[in-house]
Amino acid sequence: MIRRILLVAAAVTAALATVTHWAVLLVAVALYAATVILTLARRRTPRASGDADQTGAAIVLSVATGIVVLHADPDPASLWVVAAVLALLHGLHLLRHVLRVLVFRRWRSAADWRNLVVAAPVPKRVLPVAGPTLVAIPVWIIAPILAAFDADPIVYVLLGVLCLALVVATLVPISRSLLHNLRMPSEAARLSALAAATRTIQPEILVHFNARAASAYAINEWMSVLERLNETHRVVILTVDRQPWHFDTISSTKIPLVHLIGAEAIEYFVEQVPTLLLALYPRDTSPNKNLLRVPGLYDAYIGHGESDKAEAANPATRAFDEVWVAGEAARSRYLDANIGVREDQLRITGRPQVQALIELARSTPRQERKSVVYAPTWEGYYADDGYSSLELLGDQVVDALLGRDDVTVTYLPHPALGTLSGRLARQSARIASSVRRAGGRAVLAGSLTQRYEVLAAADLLVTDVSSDLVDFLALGRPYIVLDASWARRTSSTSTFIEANPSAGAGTVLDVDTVDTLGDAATRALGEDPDGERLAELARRYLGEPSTPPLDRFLTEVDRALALVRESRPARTPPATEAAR
Amino acid sequence: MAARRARGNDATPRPRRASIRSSVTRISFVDLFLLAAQALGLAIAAAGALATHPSLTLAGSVVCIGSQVAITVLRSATNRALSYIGISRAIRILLLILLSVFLELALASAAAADNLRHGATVWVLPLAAVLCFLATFADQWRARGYNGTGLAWRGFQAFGLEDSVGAPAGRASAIVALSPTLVLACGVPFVLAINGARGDLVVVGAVAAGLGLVCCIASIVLRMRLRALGTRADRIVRLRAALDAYAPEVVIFVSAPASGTYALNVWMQTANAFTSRTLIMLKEGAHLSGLEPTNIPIVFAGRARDVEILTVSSVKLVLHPTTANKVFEIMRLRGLLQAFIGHGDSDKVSSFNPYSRVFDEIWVSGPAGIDRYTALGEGFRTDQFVTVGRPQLAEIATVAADGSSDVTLPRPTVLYAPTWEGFLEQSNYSSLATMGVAMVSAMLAMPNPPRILFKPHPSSGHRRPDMIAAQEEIARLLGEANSDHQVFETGTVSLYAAFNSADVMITDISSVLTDFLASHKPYLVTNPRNEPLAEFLLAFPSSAAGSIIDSNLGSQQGTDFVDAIAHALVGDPAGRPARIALADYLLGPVSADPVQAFVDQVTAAVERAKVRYPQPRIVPIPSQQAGVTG
Repeated sequence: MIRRILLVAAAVTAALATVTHWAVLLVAVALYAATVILTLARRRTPRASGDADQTGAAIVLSVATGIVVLHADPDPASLWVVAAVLALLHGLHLLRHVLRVLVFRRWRSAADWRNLVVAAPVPKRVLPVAGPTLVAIPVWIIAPILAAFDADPIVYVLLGVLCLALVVATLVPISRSLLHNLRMPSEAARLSALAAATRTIQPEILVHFNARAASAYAINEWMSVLERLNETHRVVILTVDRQPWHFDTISSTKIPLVHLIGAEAIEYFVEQVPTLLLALYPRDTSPNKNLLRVPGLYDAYIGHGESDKAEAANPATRAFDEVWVAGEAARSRYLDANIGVREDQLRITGRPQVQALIELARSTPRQERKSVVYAPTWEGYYADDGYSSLELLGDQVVDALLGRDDVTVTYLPHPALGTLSGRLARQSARIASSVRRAGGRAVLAGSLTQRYEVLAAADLLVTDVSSDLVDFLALGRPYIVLDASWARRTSSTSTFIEANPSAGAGTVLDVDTVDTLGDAATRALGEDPDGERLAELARRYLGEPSTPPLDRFLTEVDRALALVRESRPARTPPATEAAR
Repeated sequence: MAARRARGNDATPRPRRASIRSSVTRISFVDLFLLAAQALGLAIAAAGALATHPSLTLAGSVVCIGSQVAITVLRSATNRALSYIGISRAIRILLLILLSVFLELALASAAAADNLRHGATVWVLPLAAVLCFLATFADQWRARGYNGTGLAWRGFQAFGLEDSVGAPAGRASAIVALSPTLVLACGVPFVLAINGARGDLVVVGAVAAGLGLVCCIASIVLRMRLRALGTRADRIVRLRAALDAYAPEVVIFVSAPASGTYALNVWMQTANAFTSRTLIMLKEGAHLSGLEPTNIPIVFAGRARDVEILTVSSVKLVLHPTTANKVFEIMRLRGLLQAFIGHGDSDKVSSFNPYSRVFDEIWVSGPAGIDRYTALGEGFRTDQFVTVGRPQLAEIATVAADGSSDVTLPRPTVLYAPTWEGFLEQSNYSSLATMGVAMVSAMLAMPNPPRILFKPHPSSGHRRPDMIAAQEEIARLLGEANSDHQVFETGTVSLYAAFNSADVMITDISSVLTDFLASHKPYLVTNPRNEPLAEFLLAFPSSAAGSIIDSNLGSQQGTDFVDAIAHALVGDPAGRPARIALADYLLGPVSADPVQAFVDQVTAAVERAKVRYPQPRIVPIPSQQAGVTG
């Protein structure tokens, strides 16, 4: 919306600019700046930035055409010149378009990788620089043309020089990327080289990851575990579904990253790397199917955090050979939900990540002034996954907390909060700034370590049904749970706790009782928490504290690998490389 | 390896992924004509402008605008193709505007032209350009507010809901985008007339003004129609109310590429006989246009949340003809018994992968299906399988032990139905080019030649020209034999009708062979690559009860082709038990009415679902989805 308003505004101004010549210069520069800013703002969503690019180009081209026509003289000779100039202008626009299609399609459809030595080049990525640069090409074109037409050419000469400088500065590297991408070997050849290179490192574990950029936390919280796993068994992380930006969003690692598009490429890759035995899935999403359908791998769902959300026990989980959960609570959640997940599919593996939180809490000195953290969860992809309290209760909660002068308030929204709803994103940003203004702290889109730092220092957590809540149980500190879930209208506090047992050792507030938040907070901060009950809940949710969770997870991986070796025939790569 | 080889069993070409490139190359004759009209219109308009002939420009513009309207109304691929190379609709319209201005400038007196550029009328052109873009965007905004895409339904009239209509957004934007053109076309001449320009300019302006008025009125009418349709959220609420009233128990959930509508269509006749209240839920709107006739209500639920909200709590059983990624969207819902039914041939390799273990039940035709899944060793459990037969084969007449059948034939008849050559030479199982002519000649040379029916595969000759030559040669031989032999051209006689008009079939390794088993009639299978008999039988179990013929018309089984045909034509009673056992194994046991048997299975599954998932699903109400915007 904002983009369109901006572009229309640019068009209006450009049209008016035909009246005074200097305005043309201003408009061209403004237009360029606007598209650069917009494209950069949408760097993570290539489609939207491509949209801006297209719309911008259409407007600029149209205005340019209008200006050229206006500067024409009615005598026949001049008309022919104008016709030639128009043909040139539109021809260049066509060229720009073809260039754009070539640049983008080529790298977006290609197999890509990092941290692997492959006998084939990786495609060069041209976003986000290319978007705004290509948009501006028509502007660069108009200026010199206008200079030839007008009696007062100095302004156009200036514009022309400016634009040509931009062309040289940005188009040259793009052309190099473009040439590089065009000269790349065919997709099949690169895929085969990639498979050969992967074969030589003999990986055993493939981690399948598919997510929007904002949800990269789901794999990042596993990275330390995977790094450790990579020392004994080689690991490969597979990202799919036209999400090459995960090379940037996945925290820096030595583990090989592979990006493949389409079921066929994935099937080929797995077939060609027969040492792969175990596939781990941190997210339960529909693209998982492209790997699940490939025979020969043992599939384990490892999740990304432990919570009572309905989505955390959904029937689609049956597709995995095993579902690895942190503690007994998750096990009974799956079984009680009667969704067809079988007892023999469930394995309790603990939550290795939470060890870091416990250690942080030990080393973080407690402050005299109490710290209260408000951590709303995100809006959820599905209607029945909507647990976020932000929209319904967020303002009241933050106002009540900021109203107290005895606590420090930290706002810790879920990293994906607002990715699906612009309204929630705006509300979250507003709350963050009001917390900061009041001297508190707001950690937006923080990594798990950053989140754990905040939680480790918290004396009281105000949150929704979420994995933050479950992780926080490990610290044995008081918490308040906000009931704003989609089924709220049909539930009471007791049925809420029944459905979300992790809330059992805290105070539950809903839309009717949220005005008592102040009292509840005072009570929670003043009294000693029911340590035994909290410890029991933590044990149920996060596993027995006696065994180090990381060791437990590694043992589980070894068990699964042994099981596959024992129960499934050894895989050999198909003899024909040219299967595709 | 077996799986890879068995891919040759797949007689139909695999649907290929639709890409932009393929949509560009799939331009039809009409599209080409419209494309030419666009180019011609622009060229005429340009010529008129350069030669200062207003009538020419006007004619060119009319051709151009007319073809543009046709492109939009016919949903021609031309628009997309032109946009793909950068000449979008907006730019084409802009070109027209400019040409008319150009013409007007050329015709205007020098003073008027000067006035246009530097006088008070300098505003006319920029104003019109701005109007043009505002109108285009306004139209897009409006379409976005309506947001009717990704939601459609059919067959809810009984519940007070008329069939959904497509948004007229495309047509509206075409016309709305044209109106500024006309404002400009009449505005400039008007100004020129005031400034003392030539009289014919005023005529052009008047015509353009009339057209502009008509377009504006049309645009207002379209906008009102669109408003009457309501927003997407409104429509979902109404649809949900109708679904609640209908209370379907069974959902047939279909997600497939546009070319995969057949996956649903193969079930349509059977589904029409369901006694349980059934709903068809489509994940892609493209299927709406290619469906077999049905009375079952249909919903096209484009978004994941639509599936969540439109799968009402009365639904107990979900039948899946496909396993696309979007199956996830309904698979994640609690309280539903999810059954994979495949698309007619559940034994096909393409629909045969470890992911299928996600289903509560996998419905296979016969025990062979179970064996193929469990042999995969990928965690399938025997309690997941239900054998349901193949109701699609109900049309095939079964021959009795005494040789009698529902269909009586005038004289002994042989059907030759070879497969096509496949996409790759390694999956070429066709006998047509290598053995076809020899076999037909051999039969014609028999002392008492049988009647021969020849039904080539529609894709024959896709890759190899010698297939077409063989096809023509066989047709010639049959024609010259001066008898009642017949060649079934593509699309004239259905495969099963052809089965019913023959006593014996000669075919290649393909799904045709498996289907034919339902008739219990004798058959011959070609082995054009002369693979060793034991390996051949192991790789292709469906050939086990037939005579296997090598490329030299001999057989590793001892009887050569002519003997085998003669033997088969008298019914081969000795081989009958083996044929029946094989049919039962691959297709499930024969029942008097396979469709009714399947319908009973569905009813039983609904009851099973109620026992297994007794708690009704809590379905979010539609208004709750308003909280999240795309």
